[in-house]
Order: sequence, then C-alpha cells, then structure tokens
Amino acid sequence: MSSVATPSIIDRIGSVLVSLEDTTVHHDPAAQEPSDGIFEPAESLNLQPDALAFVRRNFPNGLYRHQHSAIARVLAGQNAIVATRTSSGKSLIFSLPVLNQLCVNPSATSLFLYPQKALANDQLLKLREIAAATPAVVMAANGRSHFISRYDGATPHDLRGQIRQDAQIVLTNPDMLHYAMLQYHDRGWARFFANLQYIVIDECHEYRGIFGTNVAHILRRLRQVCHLHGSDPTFIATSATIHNPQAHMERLTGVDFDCVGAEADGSRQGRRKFWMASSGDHFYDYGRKLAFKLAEERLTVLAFCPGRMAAERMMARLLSSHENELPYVRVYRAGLSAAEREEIEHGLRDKSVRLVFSTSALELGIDIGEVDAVVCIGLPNSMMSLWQRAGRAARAGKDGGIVLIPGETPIDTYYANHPEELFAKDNEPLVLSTANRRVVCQHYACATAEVGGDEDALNTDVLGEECAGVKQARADGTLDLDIFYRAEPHMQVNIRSIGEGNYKLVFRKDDEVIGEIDEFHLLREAYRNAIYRHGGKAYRVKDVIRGKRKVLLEREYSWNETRAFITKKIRLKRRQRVADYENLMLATAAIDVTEFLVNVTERDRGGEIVQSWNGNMGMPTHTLPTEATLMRLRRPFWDEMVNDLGPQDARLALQSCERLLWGLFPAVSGPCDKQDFSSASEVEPDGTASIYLYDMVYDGVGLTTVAVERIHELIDKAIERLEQCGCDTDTGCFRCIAHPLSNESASKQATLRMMQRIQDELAGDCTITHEENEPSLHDAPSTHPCPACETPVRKGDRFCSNCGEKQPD
Amino acid sequence: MRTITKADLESRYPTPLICGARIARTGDKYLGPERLGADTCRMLGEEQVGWFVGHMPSFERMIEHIQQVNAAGTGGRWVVVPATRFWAETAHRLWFADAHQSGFSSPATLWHDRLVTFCVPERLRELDQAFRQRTAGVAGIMLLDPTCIVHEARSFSNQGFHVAHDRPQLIANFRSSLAVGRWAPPLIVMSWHRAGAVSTERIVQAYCLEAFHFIEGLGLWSGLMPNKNEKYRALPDAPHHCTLATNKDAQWDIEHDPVSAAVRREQADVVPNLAQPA
Repeated sequence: MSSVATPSIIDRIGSVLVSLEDTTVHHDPAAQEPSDGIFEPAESLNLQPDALAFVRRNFPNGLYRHQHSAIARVLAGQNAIVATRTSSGKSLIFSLPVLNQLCVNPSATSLFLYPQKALANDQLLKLREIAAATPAVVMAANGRSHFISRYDGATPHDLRGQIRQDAQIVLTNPDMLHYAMLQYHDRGWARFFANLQYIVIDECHEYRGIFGTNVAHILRRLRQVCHLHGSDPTFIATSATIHNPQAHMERLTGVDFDCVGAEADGSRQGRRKFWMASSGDHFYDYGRKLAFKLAEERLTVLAFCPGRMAAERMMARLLSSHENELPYVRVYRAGLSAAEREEIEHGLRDKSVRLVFSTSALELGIDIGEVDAVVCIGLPNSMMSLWQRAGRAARAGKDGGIVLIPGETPIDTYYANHPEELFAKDNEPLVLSTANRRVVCQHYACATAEVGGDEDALNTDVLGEECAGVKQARADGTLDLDIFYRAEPHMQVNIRSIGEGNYKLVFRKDDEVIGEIDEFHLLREAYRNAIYRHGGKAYRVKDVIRGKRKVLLEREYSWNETRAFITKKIRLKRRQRVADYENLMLATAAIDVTEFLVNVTERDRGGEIVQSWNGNMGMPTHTLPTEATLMRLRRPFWDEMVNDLGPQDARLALQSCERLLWGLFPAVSGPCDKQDFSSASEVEPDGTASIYLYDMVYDGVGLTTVAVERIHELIDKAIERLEQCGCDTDTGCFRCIAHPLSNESASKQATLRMMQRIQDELAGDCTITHEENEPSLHDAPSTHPCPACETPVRKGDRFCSNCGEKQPD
Repeated sequence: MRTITKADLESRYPTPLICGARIARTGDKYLGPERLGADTCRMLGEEQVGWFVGHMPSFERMIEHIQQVNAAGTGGRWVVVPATRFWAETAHRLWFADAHQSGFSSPATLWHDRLVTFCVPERLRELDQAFRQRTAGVAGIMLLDPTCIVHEARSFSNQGFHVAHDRPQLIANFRSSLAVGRWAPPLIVMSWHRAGAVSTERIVQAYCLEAFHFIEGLGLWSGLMPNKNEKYRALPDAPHHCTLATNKDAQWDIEHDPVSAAVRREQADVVPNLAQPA
C-alpha cells in the first residue's frame, strides 16, 4: 500500500494553497477517509466458464459487493440501475453480462448508449480488450473486425454497411439511434434488433431536461421496434451522481428497474480532501496560477473552467508568459478532433501531460488515469457536476484533492459564504417531462414512420400514455400538425437542444462543415460579424443564411472578442396557479420569449471597443414558448417604486432583482444547471412590472415553476446576498447586482429597497386561484396583419417586411 | 444606452432635404409621404431602418437629386457610395460636366463637394478615419446601386489569407463607425429596380439593417423646400398604381399645410406629379 505517498499528495496541495499570496480558504473540511473494498466471489454468479475465468484472472479478490449484486440481477433478466460512486467499477457491471451472453449465444447483440462520442470511444477499447481475453467471444467474433464497433457521426460511411452486417455490440449515442438506426430498423438493422439482449445506458444522469425528454421517447420507440422484431432486451444503466436513480430510469425507459445504490457500494476509494479558496485576484487568474503551481509541483492537475472560451484564454495566458513552451499543458473541450482528444487522454495516463484546462467535457467517465488534483475555477453548475469533477481525483484507491474556487456570481458568492450548505446538498432531482406535447408529437410521427406509416399499428402500451393521448386526439380529428405529414419526420427532431433545427457552421475556404449550432446559441455566439472560436482557431461570421440554415465563416487572425447584446420580449399566454397578494401577483405561466440582437461590440485585448454594430444585423429572432414563474408588481407597488427611486433607477433595480433571483434560484431549487433556465423583466404598458423565471426548453419541463413555492426562501437569500456583499460601492459588483453584459449601473440600495418591499408584500395575505381561464393561444395564428399595410407578419418579427413598419409589441 | 441629442440631429437635418412617397414593397399600397427630417431620421437611425428608393428613372436623375441636396448648403454631410467604379466614373463625369474640378488625386473614386462626399465602398475606410478626426456630422449614406448588385458582392476568398472582398460589410462597418450611441446615419439605397423585383430581405440583412421603408423613385423630391407657391409641385403624391392604405397623406397635408393640400387636390389632374425644377 502507498501509505507514505497517500497523505503527501493532499499535503502538497495544501502547502501550495498556503504558499499562494492572498489566499483565503473559505472551507477546509477534514479529508474523507479511504475505504477498503468489500468483495464477493464471482463463482456464486451463473457465469459461463470463459467469463468466469476472465474474472478470476483479472479480479483475484472477487467482485465488489455492488458489482456482484448488480450482475446477479442482470443475469436474472431484471433491468438494473447502478448508482455507486465514481471509480467503483461500473463498466464491468455491464460488460460482463454482455460478454457472458455472447459466450452462450454468439448471435446475441447489445446496444451501448453514451451521451458523448468520447465516452463511447474510451469504452470501445476496454470492451475489445475484455473480448480479446475471453476465448468464447474470440471464437464468436470469428475474425470479424466490426464485431464490437462504434456507430456514430464519426464512423466513416463506407464502414457503416459492414458494421450493420457484422456487429454484435454497437456503441452509439441517442442521436445516431434516432437518426440512423430506428429510422432504418427494417432495412439494415433487422438482424441486430431481432437479437438484441442488452441495452446499456451509461452516465444516465446526462439524460435530463430537453435531451432527456427526447431520449425517453427514443427509448420507448426502441422498445417498440424491438417488439416488432421479437426481442425484449434488458436495460442496464449506470451513473455515479444521480438523485432517485430508480425513478429516473423508470421515467426514462418506461419499464421497471431494480436499483443497486450507494448503500451497496463496496468499492475501494482513496483519501479525498476538499478546499474552497479564493484570493483578491480575479478567480480566473487565481485558478490559473494555482493549477500551474500544482503542475509545477509535478502533480497531475485537471482544471475545470466555466466554458471553452475560458479554457482557451487560460491556456493562451500561460503560453504567452512562458514563450509558448509548455508541452505538459493542454486544453480539453468539445470541438477537438478525436486524435487530439486521445493524445491528451494518453498524455494524462503516461504523465507527459500534467495540466489540462478542461470544460465539462472531461467530467464524465473517460479513463484518464490518476489525477492528483482537481481545480474547479468557478463552482460547478450542479451538484452532479461537482461530484463528477471531484470523482476525477482519488481514483483506484489513490489520494486526491479538490480545490473549489468560487466565481464572481451571486450564487458562487452565496456558497462561498455558506460552504456547508453546498456540501450538504443532495444531487438534484433530474427533470424530464415526457408530457411535453411538442416533443410527443414529433416522436409520435417518428414512431408512426417506423411502423410503416400506419397509426393503428402503434404500440401505445410501449410508447406510453402521452402517445396514446396523441393517437386519440388524431382519431378524434383534433390534432393535425405538419409533422405528421413529413416524409422524414426524424430529421425534424432536434434532440439535444431547443429550436427547430441546427445551423451548420461552414468554413468558406472549401465549404467545410466544422460543426453545428442551435438557434439559441446562434444568437449568442455565431451572429453576423461575431468572432467565433472553434478548435483553437478564430473565425469571423460573415453571414447567416436562414433559408439554408448555414453560418458562413472566414478565418480571422485577431485576438479581438465580440459580444452580443440581446433584448427579450415576453408575451404572457396563460396563467395557471395564481397567488394574489395585495399589490403583487405570483403565478406559474405559459409565455413566449422572443429574443433579438440589438448590438454587437468588438473589443481588442485591452478591452477597448474597436467596432460596434447596432441592430439585429439580419439575424433571425428566436421565439421560445415555455413555462415560467411570473412575479408581477401591481400598479400601486410599482408606482411607489417609481416615485421613490425615479423611473430609470426603478427599472434598473427591477433588472437587478431579476438577476439576483435568477442567480440564486439554484440555491432553493433542485436542478441548477444554469443553461436550463433564464430570466427576464419588463415594465408592462399598463404600468405594472414583471419578473419572469423561465425554462430554456420548448414548452418547458417544469423547472422554474417550482419557484412559486420557494419564493420566500429565494427572496430571503437575495436580501442576504445584498446585505452581506463586501463591495463598497452602491453600483455593486458581479457578486451581487452588477451585470457583465449591461452598460447601465443599478443601485444596490435601490435593489435592496425593492427586494425588501417584495418581501413585505409576500408576508401579507394571499389568495390562491388554481386556474385562470385565459384564452389558450396554442392554436392562435402564427401571423397578424401589419397595422400599416395589412400584410401578414410572423409572430415575433419586429418589422413588416412589406412596408418596414415597426410592429406593436 | 446613449443616443444622439436633439441638437445634434437638428444640426444634421435643419430642414428636410429629401422627401418621397412611401409605398409597400409590393407597390400596390401608398403609405403616405415621408420626409428625411430630424424626427424621421432619428427613428430610421435608431431602429436601423433604411430607405429603399426603387424605380428610379435613370442614374442621371439620381445625380440630379444629390446635386439638389448639395446645392441646399445646409445640414450634415451626405456620403454617396456609387456601386462600382464604373458608376463612380459616371457620377464624376455628370457631376463635373460644366463646373469646377475637384482637387483630389483620385477623383473618380473619392471626392468631396459642398455637402456631399462621393466614395466607392473600397475607400470608405479612409473616410471613416477622416470623418472621425473631423467629427463632422454625417446626415446619411446614399448607395447608388442602379442594378441592385452590391448586396451580392460578398464573394469570399478561397485562398486562405486573402482578405475577403465584402462590399456590404464595408458599408455596414462605415455606417457603424459613424454611430452615435444606438443611432447611426440612415442608409438610402437607390435603384432602377422596383422593390418588389429584388430580394429586399437579403438586402436588409446584407447591410445589417432591420427593415426598409420603400420609396417610389419616380416621385422622389430633393433640395430645399420650395416656397409656398411652388409647393404643390414638389410634394410627393401617391403613385398612380397604388391604393391608399391609410389616410396618412391627408392627415399630413392637413397638419402641415392645409392650403397647399387643398390646392394640390384641385390641381391634381393638371399638375405633373413628378415635377422637379430643371
């Protein structure tokens, strides 16, 4: 045992922390003690001799308790979800039954689903190794090179036919399953689906929000296709960080699951220690210096950055101060080629790479060997993310340390002041709503296409009650959407994000497609004239062609950065649960959020504006119908605010309240992935003012509507944040009310005054109405006549294209 | 966000120098007269709305309009951008046909006169720097694009390091460089083509605008407002092929000059609609 080396890693990290100037340690809990493995003999499992021999050879102590328990259930034909810690040997739990089945039945097939291609690649190598070590499987493979294969967007087209023909184990992602496998199940995949024994869903916590909702329907369609081909596969799911795993998997798949949870975890874990620290420097600078110093101490360091731009910038800063000579430092993020990713992963394993600035791309279980220290620059967006990141260190019984550096946001500052609250939090409940009508209709259309276009042939027992509801509505003649008449409905579904479809990023040099971007991010990252960074290169967005859904890029050789200013317009469609206070109304609501670009600025490295473009620059507006929590300040309240503060300051205070409520929402709710929700505020034409917290998902998934119940707590936390913020100016700082994307400064005192007034109002009497029968706009026309020329104008368009008249809000 | 002051606007537009009949893109509806005065230009500049003056009878007529603006001698400077070097040469020849010569070394692509500056898109960057130094108020940018092709001139290079030749972007950049807060000088595109005959949505996007107001080129009027006796000749009227979409023109007449409005109505049958002082 490494009894000497084990404490030294933690001590070395601690001494580096102490040695850095101006470090404030906010939280320094005792290290989590290591645990020895609890083993059970593999002989008690009903394994084939070759599979058993493999286990004996590679795991002489036997299997961990949870591995044994889970494999026993899977072999008995039960669907199982394994939710044990990171680095607890979960891969073996699904690999072993799959290979065991191949020993029994060489024609059996298995499908492995991964949320990311990189994960699939990592697992492919492991599976091939295990298969090569199992003689019965080698015999079953019979020299077929595609016996175990990846089948995803990176698979060369000329190999795909052979994979369909030969593969017994296919590793893919939900996108490929939807677009390429289910759609053509009766042509190339009939053999595969007819023999499907196991469906493995790794990192199942990733299937949440709109992605999870889509995957839930895809898995139901997969089950329908299996029924068509006469198979009934067993599901095996795994995740290290998941709340209520059994319920999540049952919602995701529509079948019953057995759970092997943390209480059964018998894995061996190393000693792990957390710190939460900051300094007077900007948290990016502090994080960069700390990570680099740890790497100089010859520790292997993984520095998680808030985004890919941040990761690139940190790397660039380090390089510029070291004459571009830092072979052991790398950036890891989406957009790298497979070869680049593999080089970094290999470098981490053989220690030729000691510091990696990474985005969340390295959170999931890619094998990168032993990492000594994890530095989180900015607190992770969710507890799941925190534990995934922490799980990169202290693997395989080794020691590791995790340093959390809070960012300059209200929520990070809140947790810096209350670190014990952060560590006491459970993983968030995963949100997915299989009832989202838009998504259900899309998948209903796909499912219909998969059964040959006959709606009567749909298996609604498998597809679920939501599809049954659509089927009934179709039979009644009350539901007749375009999607039901599309020749290829699969292509109309965007399973990863909001919006109707992605835009292709085309590099004009030879019309090379370097990636895709959805409508939401298009407006934020790839607008006309934007400098867009991709794969370490900078591009200028020359044009956005709406009809062809293309973004045309040209290489840019500049360090400048562009920033978009976006304005939102909210259209309230319906209120559901309404809580009426004397001068304030709180409600869950259905709204349309229309976003449009108003300005783009380009700044040089020194922050000086070198160019600024006003207007939307021809960029399409983006309208998101979604669910929200609405807080409306009624006329006397808002008038009082305007009288007290002045109209300008009152409006700015309203915006600051909105930003604070948005920023602190994760502290009172479950899911806190910040890209899943957003906020807006408006002064209404009738003299009231509104704050909206809304889901960033088409038609919503019930994320922000919980704010109605937690509003008192949320307001209390916001007031506490304002009162305790250490900034000494009334304009505040990014930790309280300052907005990095705003040119206007709000007053902290005015914001506090408004918050306290809201708090007083919420302490008053309340009447709750459960439904307000406002007219549903679901079937409202998508256009309205222009007041000037009477030409139909699309909803959300700000100007009439026939006469240029500005449309009323 | 900061925007232009009223005083600044009034110094650029002390009096409207250009007036036109606003119509729908399809050309079948008349939406009333529109004058490029301070209020209209504030709206156009802040909302990023341009003017598309289609159906201009000739390039010579475009130059005549600009000469009227130049002769007015009041207000801000107008930057005139001929679509190509050919049109710049033609404009130069027409402009200096029987007058003084400019002292510029490259007269065909960049020259100044009293209130106007002619410049091809490729040299706008030079103007940008010069105007920033002088901080002279620019009233607007007129793009003389008879065949309506500049918005298509976005040919990007296929040769790695070569700078892309992107004329609409040059114009958009120049316009944005003259911005005062969220206001930027209005862009006026003049073309032989009627608006309905070209893809104005693409043009709007190419110049980074939000929308166009469509103006009937045949009835365009420019220069100082005529005296009261002449006024009936100058005010733009509904094109003959248009129906009246609103009663805006009648309201406008009544609010601004009820006497002329009455005279105009009386003489509508006998007075040419498009008269312009020779």
